[in-house]
Parts: sequence; C-alpha cells; structure tokens
Amino acid sequence: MKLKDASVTEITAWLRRDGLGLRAGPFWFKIHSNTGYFTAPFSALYRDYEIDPACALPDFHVSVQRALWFRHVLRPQIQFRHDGDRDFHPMSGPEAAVMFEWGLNWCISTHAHHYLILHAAVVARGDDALLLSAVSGSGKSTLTAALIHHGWRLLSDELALVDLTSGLVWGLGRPVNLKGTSIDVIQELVPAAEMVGRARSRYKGDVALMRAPTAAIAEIDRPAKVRWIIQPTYTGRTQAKFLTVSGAQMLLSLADNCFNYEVLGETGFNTLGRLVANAGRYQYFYGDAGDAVEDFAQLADFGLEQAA
Amino acid sequence: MNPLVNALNAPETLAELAPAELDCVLRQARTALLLGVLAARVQDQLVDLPQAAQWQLKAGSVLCDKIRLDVTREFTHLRRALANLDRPVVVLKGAAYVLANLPAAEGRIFGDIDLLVHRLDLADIEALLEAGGWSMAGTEPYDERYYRRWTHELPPMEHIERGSTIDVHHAVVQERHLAAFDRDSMIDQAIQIDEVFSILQPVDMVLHACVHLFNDGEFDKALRDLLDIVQLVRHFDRTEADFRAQLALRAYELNFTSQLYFAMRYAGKLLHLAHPPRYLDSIRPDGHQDWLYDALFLRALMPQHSTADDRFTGLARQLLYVRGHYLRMPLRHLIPHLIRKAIMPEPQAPDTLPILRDIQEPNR
Repeated sequence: MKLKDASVTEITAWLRRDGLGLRAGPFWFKIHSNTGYFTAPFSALYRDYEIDPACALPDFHVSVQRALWFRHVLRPQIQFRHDGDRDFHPMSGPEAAVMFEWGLNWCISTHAHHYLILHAAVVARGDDALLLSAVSGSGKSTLTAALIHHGWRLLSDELALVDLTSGLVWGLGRPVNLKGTSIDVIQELVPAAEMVGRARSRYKGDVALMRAPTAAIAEIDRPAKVRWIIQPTYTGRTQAKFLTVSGAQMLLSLADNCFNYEVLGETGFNTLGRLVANAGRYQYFYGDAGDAVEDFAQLADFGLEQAA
Repeated sequence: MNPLVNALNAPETLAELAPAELDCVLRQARTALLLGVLAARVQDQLVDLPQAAQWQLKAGSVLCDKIRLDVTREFTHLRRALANLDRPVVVLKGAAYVLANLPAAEGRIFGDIDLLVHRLDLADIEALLEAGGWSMAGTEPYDERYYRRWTHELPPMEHIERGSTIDVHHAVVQERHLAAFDRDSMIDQAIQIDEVFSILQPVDMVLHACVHLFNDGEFDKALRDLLDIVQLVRHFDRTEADFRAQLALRAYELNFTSQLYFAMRYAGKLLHLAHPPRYLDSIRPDGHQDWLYDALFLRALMPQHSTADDRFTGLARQLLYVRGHYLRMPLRHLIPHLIRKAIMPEPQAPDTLPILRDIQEPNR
C-alpha cells in the first residue's frame, strides 16, 4: 500500500495513535505525529512511498510532535524524537518537514553501521551511479535536483549507503533538501519540480524540500555501482572544467565526509578503498547547473575526453 | 518479567518472539547500551532473525569493536603520558575489563576511561595528563567546584585532539563516607599488570562495581552494570578459590556489605546468578527492608525506556536520584544543588551534537 492510497483522515489517525510505518529505501520508519505542520507536507512529499500501518518491527521509531500547549500558544514549536530521545533542538512549526529529514538522516548516520555512510548525493543511470561528494558550498543539492530531472534517477540526496560486502551503493529516495538561492535556481531550471515545506530556518536560512520523482522511488530497491565520483565546486564562472583526482587523495577526502568511517575501522577503509579504486575520480568546477547536466551526460556516455 | 532481561537470560528464545516483542527487546537494548552484549549472546542464531534485528545487533558489535580498539589505543597514549609517574594507576570498570581481557568486556559499550589513584598523587597525575593533552576546559566552574568538593573524582578530562575522556578517581566512594573505611586499601592491594597500569584484585573489582552501581543516583546504565557484576562473579567463581566467601569477607572489611547484598540479590532475581546455600542471608545487613528496596531497585534496574516503565518507575528513579546525592553531600548543601540543577538549562547530549552540526551545516 502507498501513502497516496490512504485518506488524509486515515493518515492523521495513524500518525496520532499507533504510528505509521513508512519505507524509504532499506529502512522502515514508524512515525508518530500530532501536528498538521508535519502531516500536510509529509503527505505530499511521501505519497509514492510504501506504508504499513501495522509495521511491528521497524528499523527506527521517530516522532514529530508539537511542544506542550502553553509553549504552542506563544509560538508553534516542533520536537523531533528518535524512540523518545530528545537529542535535537526544537524548531518552529513550518520547519517540521525539514526537521523530519534531518532527524531521519541523523537516525541512519548514527546507527546503521552495517553500511559505510557517506555524506554525498547519489544519482544513477541504470546500474551506473554517480556520487557527488558533499563539500560545503559545492552546490551538491542543486546539481542533484537538476540531474534527476534530466535522465538520472535519484538514489539519495544526503546519504550514500555503501554495502560492506558487495560495495554497491543503496539509495533512500527521499526528498531533496534545497537551501537559499538554489530553490529558485531549480524552480527556474525545472519548472515541474514540486517544492514543499518552504520555510526560514534558524540554522540554514531559506529551506525547501523537492519531492523525489515517482519513477526514482519505484526503482529505489535497485542498488548501483559507483562509476564516477565527482567533487563539484561552484566558481560562478561560465567555463566548466574537470580535473582528475588521485585515488589516495579522493580516499582521504571522502573519509572526511563519512559518518561512520572511524566506527567501521578496517572495514571502513577497505570498503572506501574499493569504492574509490573502481571509479573515475574528478573535481568539477562550474558556474551553471545546466552546463553540469550536459557535462555529466557527456562524461557518462563518452568519457572524460569528450566532456571537458 | 522484562523482555530485555528475558532475552539476555535466554538468548535462544529471541528467534521465537513475535515481531512486536522483538522490537521491544531491541529498543530497550539500545537505550540500555546492551545491543553489543545481546549480539554477543545470539551470535550463532543471528541469521534466523528478521533483517531489522540482524543489522541492529551487528551495528552493536561493530560499535563495541570500535570502542575496544579506541580504548586499547588510548592505553598506549596514557602509558606514554604517565610513564614517569612511578605510582600505582588503577584502571577501573569497562576499560579494566578490556585491559584484563575479561568476559565482562564482551559487547560492552562505554565511553570513558576511569582511573583510580592515591589522593596524594592527584596533583601529579593531573599535571601529567594535562601535559599529555587532556584538559578540563569543558567543565563549568560551578561543576568543577562540585566535583572537587563532593565527589570522589576530578572533573572529566577530555583530550584536545582525540576527544577521549579520562575520569580520575581518588577514592571508590564519596568523600563523606571515607571516615568509615580505609580509603587506600583497594589501591594498595591492586594487581600491577604492566609498567604503568594496575587492576583491582578480583574481590575488589566486584565490590567496586557493586558500590558504583548502588551508591549512584543515576540508573540509566544500571542493567549493564548489574550484568558486569554477574559476568565478573561467574568468571572469578571459576578462576579463584572460594570466591564468594572471600567476597563477603572483603565486603565486611571495607564496610560494603549492603552494596554487595543489593548486587547479589538483584543479580540472582533478575539475571539468575546462582548463590551458595544461605549466602544471601549471611550478607544481609541487619534490619534491612527488602520490600522497600525491591520497590525502588527492581524498577530502576530496568532499561530506561517507555516500554519498561510502570506507573511508579518515575517516582522510584527520582527517589534514588535524591538518595544518590544524599549519600554524597549533607542536606544543607544538597537542596541548593538540586534546585540549581533543576532550573539551569541542561546542555545538549554531547555525543550527538557534532554529527547534528555536520548535517545542519549550511550548504551554500
């Protein structure tokens, strides 16, 4: 059963009472919520996801609840919890949807040590994945949003889950987090993109979530092999350029962007080493997301000579 | 009986549980820091469990392996930092179980390294640790005064690069109770195991675990600590001659019989530790009210999770919290301290913050 097959009344009742099981990639989340600030954007963003109101053995128990009523009268406040633990600052009502996304990322990245978890976006064409490593200011999410509307399928926007045995990367297919000016850039580049839960955040300025394309969610259980690792840098200049990166340099740089590289120890090193050794490794300097879409398609189709 | 306790006692039943029951066990194990221990106990039958249980248990043992490696590495750094001390440095609790390679270390998830030294060596060790890169800079002045005046340890010292935390103790119980027994007896009888470190002798290791568990006011890790005691006693029953009698004798000597009694009583009740005939009677303190302590401890020893609570759990935990502080400081100091702790904003859990910051970092 998909979320969109249920009525608003049903969804609200599940979230308020016994919780609603929802699957994103390999994980089932049992979700509780008592606030419309969450229910409304959630129903829009997650309509194509599999649900199970019973869901007796989820991977994570999470909740997005409004603060006590007297707090709520002053200014609506929302609290994310993982199985009752309140490890997060409360946030304002309109931020409920992004808070949920950050909360899920936190749950996965601090617990799921059966994967090597990279802070990176992953898109794929068929079984060939392109990994965009996240360095602050790179425009990773902007590029992801553009790519998934131009021939690539979305695996993940924030977290790349690398299987410790097969080395394949698994997706979560969750909404794409957009910040600041990238919201308007994407809206212009992809008029069809559906933005939900736009809010002003204490932490990140303007934020919004872009719904993951239905086709990508349908294919989310298909892991992919990482063929290209790209570290994008936004320069503002029009001339785009690829630079190849050595394996050692890429390994160290990706290790810095892993959530559990140190937890996994030797396994983490071996998994990451294999991932880096078997992929093309590039730095990419660009000034326009549209160019990037073309360059990455060239790179995937014909290799580096054609692309740069 | 509590589902997690059942699972620990009979791990082979885990595969027969209904999904919802298994879910409850896993949630309680996570909050009680016992996923690693549970994983170690179900090892062979892990494959029979549903996917969600398999990965959570596996992640528990991965975390435990990492902690073992970190602690072992930290010992190397500490040995270097303390090489010139030439005075006993006793490693306590989790780190000691790792150092001595005891079964209690298996699957154990813990954060800090606890050391015990003579009070007179305190200034020296503090200086050496500071020279080695450990610092108390993160501690508020009020808290530092509180530690130095009312507890038996220094404020935690955190390494400026690696973030490892060292707790230096100068006694095994609070300052207030030291008049009652020989404060350095445990240190003097410790067993030297390498050029720098010692561990407590077996009876003292168990007694220290008992005192630590039942004199403290916070019970969030209590089930794990009780399991430690069970593991230690079962191990020393095999390796030491007449261990239980030695344990009781030493408890009398150090005036720790009530703590030993609590530990043995609840280890038997909850975790099926077998006792010699009439053993509990022989160590029961005079006039001891079992019903009262059962009402408190049997609740507080449960995992701190909503599925393990009954309507009196909150009250029991609060009473024990006050009791823990009362054992530490007289009422005229206790009441202002508790009021201050109640109204001051609580800092965020430190281990979650860096990761949270990472995800929430602006991504222009």
